[in-house]
Amino acid sequence: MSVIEADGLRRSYRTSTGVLRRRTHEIEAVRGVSFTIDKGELFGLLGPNGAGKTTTIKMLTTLLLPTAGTGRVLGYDVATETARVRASIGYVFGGDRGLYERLNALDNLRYFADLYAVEPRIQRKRIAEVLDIVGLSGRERERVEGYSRGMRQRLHIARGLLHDPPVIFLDEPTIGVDPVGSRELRTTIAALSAAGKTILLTTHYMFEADALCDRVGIIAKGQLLAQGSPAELKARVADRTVVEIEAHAVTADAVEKLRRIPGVVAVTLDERDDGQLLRVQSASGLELTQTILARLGDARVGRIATREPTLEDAYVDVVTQGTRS
Amino acid sequence: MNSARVFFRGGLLAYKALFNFKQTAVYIPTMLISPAFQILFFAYLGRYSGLADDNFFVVGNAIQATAIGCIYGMVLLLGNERQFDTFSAVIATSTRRGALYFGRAVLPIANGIVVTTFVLCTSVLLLDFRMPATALPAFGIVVLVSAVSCAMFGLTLGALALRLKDIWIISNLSYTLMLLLCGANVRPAVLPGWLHAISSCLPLTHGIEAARKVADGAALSQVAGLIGIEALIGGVYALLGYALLRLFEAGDRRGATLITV
Repeated sequence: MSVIEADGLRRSYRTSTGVLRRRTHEIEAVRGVSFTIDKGELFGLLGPNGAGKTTTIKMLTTLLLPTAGTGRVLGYDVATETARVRASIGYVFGGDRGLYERLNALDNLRYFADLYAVEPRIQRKRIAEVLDIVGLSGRERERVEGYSRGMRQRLHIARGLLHDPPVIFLDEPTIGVDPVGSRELRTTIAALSAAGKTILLTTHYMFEADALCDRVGIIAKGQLLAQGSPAELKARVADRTVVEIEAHAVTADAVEKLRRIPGVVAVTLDERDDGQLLRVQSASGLELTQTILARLGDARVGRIATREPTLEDAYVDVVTQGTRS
Repeated sequence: MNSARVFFRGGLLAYKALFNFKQTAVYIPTMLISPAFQILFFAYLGRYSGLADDNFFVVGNAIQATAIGCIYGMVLLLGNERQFDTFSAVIATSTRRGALYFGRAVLPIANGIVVTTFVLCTSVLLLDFRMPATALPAFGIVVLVSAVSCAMFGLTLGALALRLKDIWIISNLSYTLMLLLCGANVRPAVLPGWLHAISSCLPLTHGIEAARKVADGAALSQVAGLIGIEALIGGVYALLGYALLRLFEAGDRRGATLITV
């Protein structure tokens, strides 16, 4: 039996603009998302910012009502059986807010242990356990306002585990966390998965999904465009080669020119603190490096590498095709 | 059993987490010195104008001073959930909402009583305020009922603060209006009809009237009616505040109006 089921989930919002002439717009954040997650599975929902990941997770955690479609957790309807769903899930927020800053970690956990109806006789032991799981033992008497982002994120996870829920929703748990902190968080998530928890993880870090997830779903513009194991998704682009170029001052015009090169399947340009990263996917066997460089115009070029496709390339391919259609 | 923990310990932890004035350096000037000066101000104004004696202003302002603990307390304990983005985490639990929301009133009520006691003691020392010792038990009951009633009004304002994203306009405006309308310094009978009507629907108005009578030697049974009305008004605000919170919570599921995380 599936532990989490999303069947045609839809969610739209109404927003208003203007002062004198109020205009109401309807935005469809999620447009008919369907997937199932089996017991003990770690399912990743991947997508760019604004893709509908958090809205989907909020519907499945009962915080938002679906406009259409149904969601079920452990067989309970998320729209009508909210108390049963809430008692069965742990919801871990991303980001460094959402905690009581003026309290220490221990009081944050005590408070939520009461709200989650953790038996008083086991509360102290359970709080010690979750602090241990997330690696905050010894720091629990410090006020949260003095915590680093990674520590706050770990406290979010500890809070979501207090009542030992069989199902855990992790909404971008490593966002903004430094590399070492992220790695520790991934270790914690992997341990939870190994302990048999059913986990829905949203992220836009591909390597994270690749390392952790049994299956992933790619969501963009509110639609689930593809789902499968990381290996299955990577197989979509197995017949391709990726040229990766570190550069400066690559223009949108140049990117368009690259897209018109015969054999090129997808081109992405990421802006980074130290420059730009250009990725050009093409059919494998084609040698396009010189052609690409010739079309970059006045852009300054650094390191150039050719490599095998990764999950990120599969993701780019899916999102690019989905956006075009 | 768990509801009792959420009510009492949850209320205490929420107070520690969300009440802005709990540090001593902020609490003393805001919660103690400011209302004490308020009493001194109106008592001396009363002496200068010859309108009423010290007892009138001391009793009125002492009862009204519960509002500083109860209104600001409740508005902060609910409205700050939104400021700190913690409300989603709270409503994502299946805890009983009655224990969750009403438990938050325990510390503000206690705080309101502390403030009233402090300003009464200050008034004994600095003004010509006297009350027979035999009146203290009845006076204590009036203070308790008034504080509870005022905290329930604060619950309603706190629900609105949660929805309107503002904690200061609502609390400051309400506190100032109560200073005028609750009879602490101006008898409601001399207010224009429409203000008098508002006054009779607010908490503390009947409590202040009862407290003045008790301080003048009336027995508890003689003010039971006024205390009953004060309690009834508190009950109505309790229902209204709770209904608003549940309504906003349900509305938030439909329209994402409260949660920001």
